[in-house]
Amino acid sequence: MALTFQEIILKLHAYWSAQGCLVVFPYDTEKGAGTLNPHTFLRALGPEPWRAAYVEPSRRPNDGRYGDNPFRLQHYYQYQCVIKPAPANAQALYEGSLQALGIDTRQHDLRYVEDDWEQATFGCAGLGWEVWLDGMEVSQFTYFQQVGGIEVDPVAFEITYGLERLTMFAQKVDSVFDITWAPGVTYGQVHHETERQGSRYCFEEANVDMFQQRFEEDAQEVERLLEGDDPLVYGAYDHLLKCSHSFNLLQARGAISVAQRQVYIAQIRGLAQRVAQAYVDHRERLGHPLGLEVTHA
Amino acid sequence: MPDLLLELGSEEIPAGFLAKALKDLRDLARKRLSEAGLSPGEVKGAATPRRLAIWVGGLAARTEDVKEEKVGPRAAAAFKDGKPTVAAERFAASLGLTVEQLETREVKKGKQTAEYLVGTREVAGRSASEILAEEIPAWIEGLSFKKSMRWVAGSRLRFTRPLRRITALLDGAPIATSFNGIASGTQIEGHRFLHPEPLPLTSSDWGAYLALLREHHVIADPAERRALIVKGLAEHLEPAQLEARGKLIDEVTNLVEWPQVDVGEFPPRFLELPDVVIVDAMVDHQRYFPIRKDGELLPRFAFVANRPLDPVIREGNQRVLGARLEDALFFFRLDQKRPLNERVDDLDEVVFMQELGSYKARIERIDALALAVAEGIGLLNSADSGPTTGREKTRAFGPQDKLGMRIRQAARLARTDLTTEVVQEFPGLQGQIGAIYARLQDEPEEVAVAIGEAYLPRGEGDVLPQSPIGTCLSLADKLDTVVCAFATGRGPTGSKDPFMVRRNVLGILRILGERELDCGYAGLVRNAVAGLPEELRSDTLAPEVLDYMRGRLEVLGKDAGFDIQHVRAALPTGRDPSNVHDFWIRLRALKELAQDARFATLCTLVERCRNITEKNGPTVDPEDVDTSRLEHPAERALHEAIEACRPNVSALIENRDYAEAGAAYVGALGEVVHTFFEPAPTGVFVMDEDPRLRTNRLALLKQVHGLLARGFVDLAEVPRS
Repeated sequence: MALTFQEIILKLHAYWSAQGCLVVFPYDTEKGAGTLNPHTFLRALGPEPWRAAYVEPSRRPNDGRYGDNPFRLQHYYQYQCVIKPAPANAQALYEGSLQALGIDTRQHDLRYVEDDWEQATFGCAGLGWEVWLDGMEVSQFTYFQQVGGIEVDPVAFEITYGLERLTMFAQKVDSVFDITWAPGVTYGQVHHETERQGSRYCFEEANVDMFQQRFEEDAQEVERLLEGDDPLVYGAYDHLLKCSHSFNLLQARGAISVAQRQVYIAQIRGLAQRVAQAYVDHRERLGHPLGLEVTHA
Repeated sequence: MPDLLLELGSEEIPAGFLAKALKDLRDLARKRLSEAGLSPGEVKGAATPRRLAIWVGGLAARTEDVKEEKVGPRAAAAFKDGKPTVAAERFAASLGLTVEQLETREVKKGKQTAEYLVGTREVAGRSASEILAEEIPAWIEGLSFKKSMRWVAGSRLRFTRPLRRITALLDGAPIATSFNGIASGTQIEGHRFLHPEPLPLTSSDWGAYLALLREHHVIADPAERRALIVKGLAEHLEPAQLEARGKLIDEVTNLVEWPQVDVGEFPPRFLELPDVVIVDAMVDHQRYFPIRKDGELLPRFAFVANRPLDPVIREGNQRVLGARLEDALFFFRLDQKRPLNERVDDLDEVVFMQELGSYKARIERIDALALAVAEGIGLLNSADSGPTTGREKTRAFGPQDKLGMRIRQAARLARTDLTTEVVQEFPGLQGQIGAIYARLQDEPEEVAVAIGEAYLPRGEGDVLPQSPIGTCLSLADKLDTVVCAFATGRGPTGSKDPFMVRRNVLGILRILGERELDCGYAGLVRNAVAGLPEELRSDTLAPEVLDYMRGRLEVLGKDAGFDIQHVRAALPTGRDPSNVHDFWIRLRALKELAQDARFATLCTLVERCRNITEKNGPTVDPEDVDTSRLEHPAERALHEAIEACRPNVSALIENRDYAEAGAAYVGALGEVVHTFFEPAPTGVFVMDEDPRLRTNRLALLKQVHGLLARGFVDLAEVPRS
């Protein structure tokens, strides 16, 4: 019997937990990818070591297909693992997680194919691969080089599993909605209607004026929270995430021209850099309570 | 003679970087080992995604002992009152000697000779393994990749992906070295999944190394992997298809260590999609090979696995392709709900260049320019294409009007496919998708063809637009891009060329030349400039663009194998120097003419004509010859020869019989010009004291120079100065 969707998540939790990762939780603000959960975005900065794994519901308003397309969703799940500093056996650790899911790497054609990840809006970039399992991209494997515009040292590595893809591979089904979530329950039963309505909302109903106003207000809030000697870094980051989500929705609504798009992106990136720097300074003021991993050569 | 075996074991190196990295490593090793005095013999190499390996044969076991002589301070400054000075002591110490062990000798420095302190020390030779221990880390650091990364905390050292192993043996013995915290060893690894266990190496023998890897599912030699892939593919692909996929084969070769070719299928219902979409999904996204039979795409594909085959792997790949095609089909059907002609307004959202607004704003410029091009290349008469007004409206609707209308239709629709889902998903297909959709939406066939051809040629060696409308559209599109880029200060500079001006100009020159269009680009550029918004026009814009285009034409002439002097002789001349078609005819004629034995001498003499007249008579009118004052027999002979051949030469040039015109010129003038320049009294002294005689002679020489230079080529440019 192939693993169910929830068994895959549980097995990944068990595996990464055994590798010393903190099993943490999705962040309660809309975001486009697991990387933007502060457990990765902020923790990847600075010298303190970090190991965490979590599921992240991710929203990409533009990818909505009204539940008509078997692969694209405006709301989907990523499984994210981040380890800093990246250990020398990072690839072996990843392959171990596939073994834990019952995917025997000796029976399949597993490939690391160059794919350098970039999240330009948040000033993030890294080098790595997309991982192919018999031709299907099931994970993104990245060694961070830059986060929030800041060069990171030590380097963290991040694995992002597309949970739906991985499950479709394991269950050999051709539509995301046919995935068995738990015995007797399909992904479609859980999410087909949310996709249909979600797509309608993103493309047709989202209130453009409201989100334009929210974007401005949230951006101002980020700036305000970063003022002073003891800035509220986490609050600022929350509002930055809200800015990003408003921007994504406005894009899906077709309310942003190409020229405006660059202005929005530059604004978000500028704020992301300031939040990142504020976090680095803040941890330094605290005296790096998680310890210092770097031994400078 | 010891040999070196070095393997750098890395996490997966990007396929596109591998060939260069291996070449660089081999070159670097050979160069540095020679410099170190180890006189390397043969150098071999192998590379897979997980390793770069080299073998160097015939190394010296150690470098030779040498006596090294160093010159120190002047003797005068070395001793004071018979005692060595501080300078002398320091010099001796730097060599590990005492002052007594130094000698005083005459040394020549520059032009001066003086007495200096000289010390000689023995430098012992070093063992190869000692040198290699220092060299290997330097080679690794010396490899450069298009993209590289840091991975060790606190270290700035980079490699393209984390380097994990250094295996180095000299004559079977380990070389102890390290790079970025990785200590060298004597073990290698086989196939990542089939043989994860370490494999000890006991010899530095290249054959044994390759054999050990082969036993563990790794074919280390890229050429051998490629040959295997080609052999496997040849069972399923026709030779021409195989040929056309060379780049993909190269890439796949460096994505695997143990290539095995298999064939999968996809549901035939996906054949509803345009071929280009299916092929793009296979090739660009999955690195699969499409299979055609007699030109027809089959619902099958070949792929290369990195391990022995298994039905499970084939099923997986089939499922992935099916998913991609399902996705594409969804987009394709969605696109059909809004035909291209309803998408023109959407182009308002797609920015072309900041100062120049959107693609929609561009349509009008392209439209007008395409019509101007059509006139320029003789497809349309100027009276027929412009906006019809007044009485003209009553004219009968003729083929010319239809052509003009089609050009406008095509110009309007040409970029609308930028707004389609399929092009957003498969950006490489822009233009092709436009053409396909136009056909599906019952646009006229010639409009559909033109939409597809507007992008051609996409790069060097790509096909050119063939249809009349496609040709006009493609030229107009490129001219507008080039002129807009220059007008907004985005022209090509050094390595930067954001709007691909170089490629666009090359496209224009190739279309005009290879399609043999009898039209100069200067007029077209001026048209393009005139179509810009007023604030972007300037008097210097057209000359700047033309200058750049002439430069590219020169390069093109040289690249086509013509003598650079010939290219320069043809470049500024001709009735319209910017007529590329005429340029090539003139250049070929010049090459033919140059076969004539008298040609080279005559060119030197013509050069002399030009130089003398440029220096001494820049204002002299070539026609200002007073025949009554032609006194010297040689100048009379020259005058008569010019007058005799002029009508014929001019007519031949007019007729584009350039080679014949040149032959007539050489035949008529070769001898007389030569005599003219003989020393007096046989020849003529040009700079006579009598201004009338002088003017006569300068005017004659100008005629000699001008006769061919005006319509054909400037012979004065041919001699290598």
